[in-house]
Amino acid sequence: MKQSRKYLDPVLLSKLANMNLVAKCAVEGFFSGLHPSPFHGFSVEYSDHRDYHPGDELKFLDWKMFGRSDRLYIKQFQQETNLTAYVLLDSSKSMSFSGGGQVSKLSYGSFLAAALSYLMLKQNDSTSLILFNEKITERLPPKSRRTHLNAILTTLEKNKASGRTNLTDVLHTVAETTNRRGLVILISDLLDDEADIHEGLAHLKYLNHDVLIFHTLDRMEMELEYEGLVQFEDMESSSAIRAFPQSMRDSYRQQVAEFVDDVEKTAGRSGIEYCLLNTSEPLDKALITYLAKRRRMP
Amino acid sequence: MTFTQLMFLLGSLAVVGPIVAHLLAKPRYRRIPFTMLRFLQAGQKESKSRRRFRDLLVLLLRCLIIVLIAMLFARPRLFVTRNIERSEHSYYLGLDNSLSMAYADSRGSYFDKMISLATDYINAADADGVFNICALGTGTWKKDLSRELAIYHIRSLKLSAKAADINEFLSALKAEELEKAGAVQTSVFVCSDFTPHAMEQFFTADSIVAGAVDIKTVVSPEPINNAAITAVNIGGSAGRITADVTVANYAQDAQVRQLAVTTPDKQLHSVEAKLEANQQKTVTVPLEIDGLASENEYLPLTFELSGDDGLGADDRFCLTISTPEQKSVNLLIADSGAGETFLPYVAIQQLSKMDSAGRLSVRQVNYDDLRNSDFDWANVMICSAINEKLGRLSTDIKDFVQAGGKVILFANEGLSERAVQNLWADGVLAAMPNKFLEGRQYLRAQSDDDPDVTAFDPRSLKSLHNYRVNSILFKAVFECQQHPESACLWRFRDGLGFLYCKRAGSGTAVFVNTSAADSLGSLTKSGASLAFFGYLISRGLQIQQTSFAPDQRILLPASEMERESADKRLWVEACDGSKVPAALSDSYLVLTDAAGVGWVRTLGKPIRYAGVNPEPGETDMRKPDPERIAALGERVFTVAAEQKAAGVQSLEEKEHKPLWRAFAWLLIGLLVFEPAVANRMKR
Repeated sequence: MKQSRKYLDPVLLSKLANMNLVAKCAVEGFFSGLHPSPFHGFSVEYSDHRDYHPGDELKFLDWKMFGRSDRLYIKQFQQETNLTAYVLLDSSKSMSFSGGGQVSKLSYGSFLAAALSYLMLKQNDSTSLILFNEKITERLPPKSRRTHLNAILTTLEKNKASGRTNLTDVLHTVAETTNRRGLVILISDLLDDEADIHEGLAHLKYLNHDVLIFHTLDRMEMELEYEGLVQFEDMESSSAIRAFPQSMRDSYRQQVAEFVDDVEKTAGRSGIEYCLLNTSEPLDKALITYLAKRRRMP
Repeated sequence: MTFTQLMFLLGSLAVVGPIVAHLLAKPRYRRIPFTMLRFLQAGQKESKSRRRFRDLLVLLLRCLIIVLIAMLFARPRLFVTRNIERSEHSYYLGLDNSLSMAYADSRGSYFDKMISLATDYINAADADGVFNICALGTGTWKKDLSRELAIYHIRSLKLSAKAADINEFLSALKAEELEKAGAVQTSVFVCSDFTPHAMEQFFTADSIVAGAVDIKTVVSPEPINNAAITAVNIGGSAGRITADVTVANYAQDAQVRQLAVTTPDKQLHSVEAKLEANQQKTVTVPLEIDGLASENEYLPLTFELSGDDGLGADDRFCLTISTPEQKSVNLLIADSGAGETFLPYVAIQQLSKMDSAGRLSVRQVNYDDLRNSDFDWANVMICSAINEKLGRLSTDIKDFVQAGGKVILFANEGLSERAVQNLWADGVLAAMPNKFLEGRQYLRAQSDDDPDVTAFDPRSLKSLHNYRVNSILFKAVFECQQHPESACLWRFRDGLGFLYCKRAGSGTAVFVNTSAADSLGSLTKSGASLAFFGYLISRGLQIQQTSFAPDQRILLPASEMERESADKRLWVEACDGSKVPAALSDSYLVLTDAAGVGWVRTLGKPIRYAGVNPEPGETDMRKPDPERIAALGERVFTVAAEQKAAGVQSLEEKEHKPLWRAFAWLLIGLLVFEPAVANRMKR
């Protein structure tokens, strides 16, 4: 891993003192390791440039950038980038699963949420944080002040996993309670009825929100690399299953793959960006996905 | 399939262990919090059933391993019956393994030569033929053998101490001939040294039809120099004992051999025997054994010729002798149950009470209840009447007398003619009662002319005379025909015989010409009955000698401790030195097979001996006349040229194959397979 990527390592991030550091490390680490394209010209002090298209007003050309890069960029004014982002972080009990590793899905999701919030607020986007399980447990309204970041990070630090998952109701609630269209970033393990999830997401799309799903799963959830006789106990209910994982590993993996595939296809059909995240992998994949999405947005 | 060691099959019960472990085993599960249970449910059933299957399979494999181990130790064998096609050609081999075949010259023994000839014969025979082998020395057959098995059995043959029994072989051939009635081609092969004893049997046999006959004579090309001790007769009485040793020189040249007489502890005498060619000579040897005889009830004597003449088994003669003073009297009174021996029994009981040495024992048995053990126990037997039942026991009585016993027969009115004939034919009736005479008779006083047979103790006769027995009237008297070999020891006044005595073998047969029931009352009234019976049952001063032939039952006197032993099988040392069990029958240890010639001896002390000697004439090694052999072959065997050509006969041949190798490989395979299955299915 490149030296800079280590700051994206969730294990390293989990050792940091607070979310502020986490966010800063993740984002700065991400950008310091970036090569020019596709996010050419961006920096921490993000200055809101975009590529020049024929027809743009020449008065907004950034000649300094041209002198540096021989490429034409148009300055964007702050008002043009006034995006409202809603970061929905699943805080149900299932998100506390860590699979024997050091980072739980909730921690990973929190790091991601922190990094995204940091990035968006730097960009002067309004950012809202919504924590939920079977219902919304915490909601920070969207604000664009950089001081809002502290509130978001503090909320993330205090957040604990609890309750069951009821994604559908939460999505419907978010859809009904948001006034402005924006970018809805869902960080969840999506362990709910797929049809209901799709219904909720469709509601958001109906209201012209852009939706980005970060499907967060632990490596053990995906691989089932358990040995011997195991009694699997559900984290959100009292059910349990006794099984011999070695003998059912292949079929399990196949079913998980089908589940992920179904979700991705369903999201794709609805124009929803989908990104599967493995909690053992660095955050750069998630950030790249966000930035790519952000870039495509008007 | 059978098992040689069935007990090891009990080890199969160890399968209980894995089964119990399987039933009691509780699997331990690790508890792990998880989120995606719905994806586990579908595979859970499959996993559970697969796990159960795996557990059962592993259990079965382990049980099978345990059972196989038990079966392997039990040594499984499979009897395979296979149909083989054999040609209808039967071969009959008569192979002489009698004692004379032990003769050896510089080229080896006759026996080895015979084995070689027989093997060559079989190898040259039809490969699909059926082979039947008779060992002439033992009379045993091995039938329906393949070529390989026939050669195996021939090579397994052992020498027998017995004489060749040609009759058994020829009788069986005759029976086969009748059974097959020309349907099968037969070939006969006889291989022997053709001693005079064997040839004699051929000449008395019936004619037999065979397809081919091959007679092989085993004879040494070198000069024969065998000499043998054929008989020993002990003569004299206590204080003056001699042995007449008959030595036969079968050699073609004269020879001088040293004849030594020994006991187990010392040599008694040695004398030189000069033997002319083909001569039988009796050498008299004095025996200084008074002191030894008085110490030993049965003194073993070995007569041995010095030198090596090619056959050592006949250079030795073993017998035991007993002197009268030492011999105890076991008296058996046999009657028909009508009480006619009441007076003799009373008299003898009185005698036994008077016998302070305790050497007189009495047993009274009904004829119907007589057993071999009674004959084994007794050395004197009184029979009250000659009736049908006694006639049926004639052969047993003959054996009893031959072995050294004394039988005393009383006449009776209404005696059985058939019984008389049987006893007369067996040589145990000293005089044949013909005409019954009414009236009474007085005994004549004994005179110096009366023969002294020494079958009775003269002291007891003197005692009897003190009672003036010649004034006693005796009833139920017969006119008798005296046996040519018997002597009349006592007569009535009118010359009729009263007491006849005959030697038979080592024993004595006595006939008392009066009825035990009618006459003995007079004796009892006169008070002479005790003296009379004391005289009758007394042992003479004659030395008793005992020896056995190889085909006889060997009797060894049992010691008091052995008689009282609860174990009815006691071990003795046979002639070949092996330890064999002997059955305890009353006062004797009985052995049916002496395993050769020489001495049979007890293992317990005091050591008792029984001498076993070859049949007289068995080792007559004079070379047979080839023309005579050819003549007997032509006389006995008729070659039938019209016997049909060999066809094909479907036979069943049984053999048993050891299976332990297959079981061992199977077990190894399972031991490798089981952990692989257990581990593979864990994944």
